[in-house]
Amino acid sequence: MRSNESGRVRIDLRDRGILIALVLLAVVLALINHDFRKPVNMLNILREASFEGTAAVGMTLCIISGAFDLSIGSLLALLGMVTIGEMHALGLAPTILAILVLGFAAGSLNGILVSYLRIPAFITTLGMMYVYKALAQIYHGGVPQVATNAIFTKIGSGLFLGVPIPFIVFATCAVIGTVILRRTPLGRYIQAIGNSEKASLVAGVKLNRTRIITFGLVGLATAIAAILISSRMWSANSTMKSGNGGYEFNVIAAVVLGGTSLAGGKGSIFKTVVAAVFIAVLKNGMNLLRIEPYWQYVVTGIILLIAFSMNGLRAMLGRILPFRDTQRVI
Amino acid sequence: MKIWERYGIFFLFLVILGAFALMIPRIVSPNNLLNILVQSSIVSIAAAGMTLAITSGGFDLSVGAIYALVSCVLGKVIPVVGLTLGVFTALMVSMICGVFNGLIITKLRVQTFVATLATMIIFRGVAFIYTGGRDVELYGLPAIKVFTTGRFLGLPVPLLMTLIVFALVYFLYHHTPLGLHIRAIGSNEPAAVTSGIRVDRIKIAVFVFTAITACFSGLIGTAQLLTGNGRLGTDLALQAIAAVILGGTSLAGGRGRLLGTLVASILLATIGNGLNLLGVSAAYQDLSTGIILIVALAVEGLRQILGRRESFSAKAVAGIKSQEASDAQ
Repeated sequence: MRSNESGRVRIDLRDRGILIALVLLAVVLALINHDFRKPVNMLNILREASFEGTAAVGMTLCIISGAFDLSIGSLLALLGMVTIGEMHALGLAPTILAILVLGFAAGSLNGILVSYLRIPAFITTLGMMYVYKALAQIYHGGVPQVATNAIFTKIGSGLFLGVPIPFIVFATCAVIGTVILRRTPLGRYIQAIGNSEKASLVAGVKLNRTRIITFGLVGLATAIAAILISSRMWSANSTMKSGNGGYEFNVIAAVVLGGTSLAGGKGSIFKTVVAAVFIAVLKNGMNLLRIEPYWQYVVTGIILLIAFSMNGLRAMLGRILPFRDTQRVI
Repeated sequence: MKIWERYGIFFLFLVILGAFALMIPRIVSPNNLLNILVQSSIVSIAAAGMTLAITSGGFDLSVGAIYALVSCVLGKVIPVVGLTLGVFTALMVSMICGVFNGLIITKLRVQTFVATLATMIIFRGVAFIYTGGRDVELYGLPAIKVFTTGRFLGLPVPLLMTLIVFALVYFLYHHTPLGLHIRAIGSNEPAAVTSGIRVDRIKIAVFVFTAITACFSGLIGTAQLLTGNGRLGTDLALQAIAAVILGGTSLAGGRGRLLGTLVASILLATIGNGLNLLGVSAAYQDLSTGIILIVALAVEGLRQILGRRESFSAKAVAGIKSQEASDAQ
């Protein structure tokens, strides 16, 4: 929100669109449905938002750098299976540590292929998607893994100081991600690469190193999401989260919904968090309003389309209606 | 050195087919080769449309959902109105999906990737609503099997459909203004707009075309399964994209290689068929798809890096020589 010369307060819809949409949706749902208002339900929404949101934090960095990662869905399934499969032998803490390292390494591998072998990110991550999918089917013969560790199964469903543990993890990741993006050289390099790879090369940005670390962070975020989800489900299998468009596409949709441009260069992790919560509120609201699951697909898709086409819609309305510019006076 | 770029996929195909033939000679029996071609038809037809979409600088992620929707429409409509009208209805439905995609992309200015991501969810939702989420079975209607086991002029119908689709797309791409305009939009859209090409119309046509190819794939797939379901075809879009890229079409747009797409689809089917004959689990098929995708493109990347170094040193040598020559004078 900023005020212009004439003193009127203007809201740039392009900037705050998703936040306004979230507030409106939540207020409307709270007014028409008393179950929605319950604190338990609110906590539930925050927990559900974390499972895709955590990976979306990493994906935001990646998309700002001008690439994106299609492999996270099958990486998630593989890491989830390995988490639970190895926990009997390794114990809780070492397993989690190992999975985080593994996630970062898997992501970095994408980065290495993209930067040193000059394979476009789209193709690298498409190829790795198939590789991880295969490995998840090969690991223990693809048999679904069931969690038995009592502490591990508390992570996904438990509360800490009254807040769902997944959301605490999600929020922490978002804060760390924002600090990286806004306060470190790495963050500046990520934005520079996204704006213009050539210009940043000339300016002395270490392209390869930045790419590898960025993809590594996507892998790390995916590993954290894998731990949260497999803990929440008490199990993991080779096709988990592959329904309804696939995990990677849902995560990319959340990032783009948050206003991060697929063209790269600009974006905000805070708005990705808002978008992830928006999607969770939408799903929760549709369930509470007893909208049939199949209609939920259509509603979700149409809302995504409307959100994605805000700029185009405004341009089209601008041609019909006498708006002076892209900002509307509120 | 454009040889790898142009013929690499043919080479790769021959090497892999040869390797399989050493292990299992019956893979190259005429019957099995025909089998491979039939198995490749679903992906290769969808990939023909995808080649045009990628050449025009976009993606269509919704082909799998259109495939599923078509299977549901076929399952519901054919028992009521018969085969011909049923197929016609499915074709109409897929074209409506394509127009919907095209309008959103051109009139609302949504990037193709996210636009078709959202319509993918919508089309699947429509398919689920239409069938109530249940399977629609076609076991009582053997007529539709003409699209899988039928033969015409001695050729299996799926293979014939593949050939017709590729011949049509080839003609469209190389011998019509439409093909030229698609390439123009893919290589430089602002320039295409400036030079008076009706970009919106052509983009809509491209997405209608991908939807029609998805419909043809859906015909074959439904005839094979004799079942319609909104869950079918989840991998189709990415498989088609993988085949297109393996075939040498540039992701940047403007340069499509249809023949490469066809060979790459057949290559992927060959791997599936070969591993199947070897009795290896289906997981290894995904593994090899991924590895081949990366290796093929890595070779391309390495070639560029090495090529540039060569040209640098060649230039350096040429420079020194001309220096020496001028010194001698």
